[in-house]
Amino acid sequence: MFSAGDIVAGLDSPVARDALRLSLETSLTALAVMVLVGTPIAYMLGTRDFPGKSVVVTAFELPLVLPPAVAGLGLLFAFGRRGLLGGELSALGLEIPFTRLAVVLAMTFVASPLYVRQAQSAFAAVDDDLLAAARTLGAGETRTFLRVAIPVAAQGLGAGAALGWARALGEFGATIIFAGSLQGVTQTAPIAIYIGFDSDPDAAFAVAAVLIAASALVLLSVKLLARGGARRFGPA
Amino acid sequence: MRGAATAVTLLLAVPAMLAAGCGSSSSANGSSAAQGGTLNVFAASSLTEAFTELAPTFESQNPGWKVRLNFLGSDELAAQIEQGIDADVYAAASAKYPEQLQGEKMLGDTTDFATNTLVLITPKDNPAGIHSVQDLTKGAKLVVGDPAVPIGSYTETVLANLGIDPSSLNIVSKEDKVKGIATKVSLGEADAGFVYTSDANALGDSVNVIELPATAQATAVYPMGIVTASGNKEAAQRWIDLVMSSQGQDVLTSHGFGPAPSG
Repeated sequence: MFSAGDIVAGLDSPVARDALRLSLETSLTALAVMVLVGTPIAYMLGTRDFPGKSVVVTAFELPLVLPPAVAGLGLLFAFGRRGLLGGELSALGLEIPFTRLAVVLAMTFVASPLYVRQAQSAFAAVDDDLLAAARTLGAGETRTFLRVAIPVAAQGLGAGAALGWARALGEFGATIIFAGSLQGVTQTAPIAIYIGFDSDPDAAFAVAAVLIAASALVLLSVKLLARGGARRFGPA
Repeated sequence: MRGAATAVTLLLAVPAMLAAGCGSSSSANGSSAAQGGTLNVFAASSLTEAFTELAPTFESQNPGWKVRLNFLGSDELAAQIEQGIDADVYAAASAKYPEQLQGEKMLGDTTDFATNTLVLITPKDNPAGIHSVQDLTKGAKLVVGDPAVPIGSYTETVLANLGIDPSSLNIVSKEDKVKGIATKVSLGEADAGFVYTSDANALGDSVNVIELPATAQATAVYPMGIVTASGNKEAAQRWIDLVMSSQGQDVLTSHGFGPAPSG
């Protein structure tokens, strides 16, 4: 009932194209933020023990189990115009809700725990002796992290990044509460599908088809990464 | 040990009771209306307060019946009914989706039971200093409904009647339902929004209400009908009768709705 031609025709609508472009750009930005900020945090959590670690880990993982609508409210209460930081942000001339930045924040908030969790276990699996050897040979903490820990944990980091990106791409509940919905600005692909379902079903189905393909591709690459990892580090 | 065993038994009992509850209500759906059951009323988001108030009245007038209310955008409700979700009554904020369902033979005849008008609301402290619709063109952050939902298309009509070009406005979001507009304005995240009079009524003191000029007004007419697949048609008709009764109309009026259009 729904052919490849229909999908192409559906993707011809400006709503569909704007939504997919916005989703791609914002989710990749969110991915960059979670990798840049999340990787050192995951390294620390994966390789060190300190008092209160489980509290810190719980705090980082909370968005993973929170209903997305609650995450959206939380973001409003923190970064909204009337939120905890609203006054400070306004003084800087920054009003976050209803902007592209709000979309990125919502995505980063809900998706980064997936990446950090995966990266943390990847770093925890790195042989301590390797890190110790690097330090004995005179590498500083940063150098050990960049030149030893990251390359060894690369497969796990890649898988975590893929999952985090897919979650960011699918983000809906927190976004619609915190960022609203405006074509080309904050209307991401999932929101366009939700709103367009009745008024423009062809475009909605077309965007959905693209999201299904993207998600399948991500899952497949995670599996291939995992297999590659097993071959490299598994028993010979 | 015995405490733990009791706890486990209790935990197992809860889903069992829930399952039994679902079973009895669905069997009631099929049996004669006199025995009671669950009446599923699907209503536009703007009807939330009025229908929530009417539900206990219906339940006391019809012993054995429970009213389950489902409030969403009219378009989403129509989509749910198309997908075959158990619904008995569908009350929408415009004729568009009921007519669409009737075209698909999924909804019976409809009765227009209420009208609603639009107002402009601003947060209590009115940060953008909006005192009339014309002030909207000064860059205030405006939240409207998506054209796919009735409030969105009514807003387009009002703006056209006012001679305001939407591109001269700073529209920051097109929400999927009217409650989304109401919340974003009452939280102060947006400077203004167009909602129904009934929503402004429900928000009370948390917002300022700016009336629209009568000549610019778009009147929303609310139709209600019985879903073709409903197994509770008699009870559904009694719900419609209640809403059309003077008691039902009084409740709607008290929440800011206009009376059912005559004729």
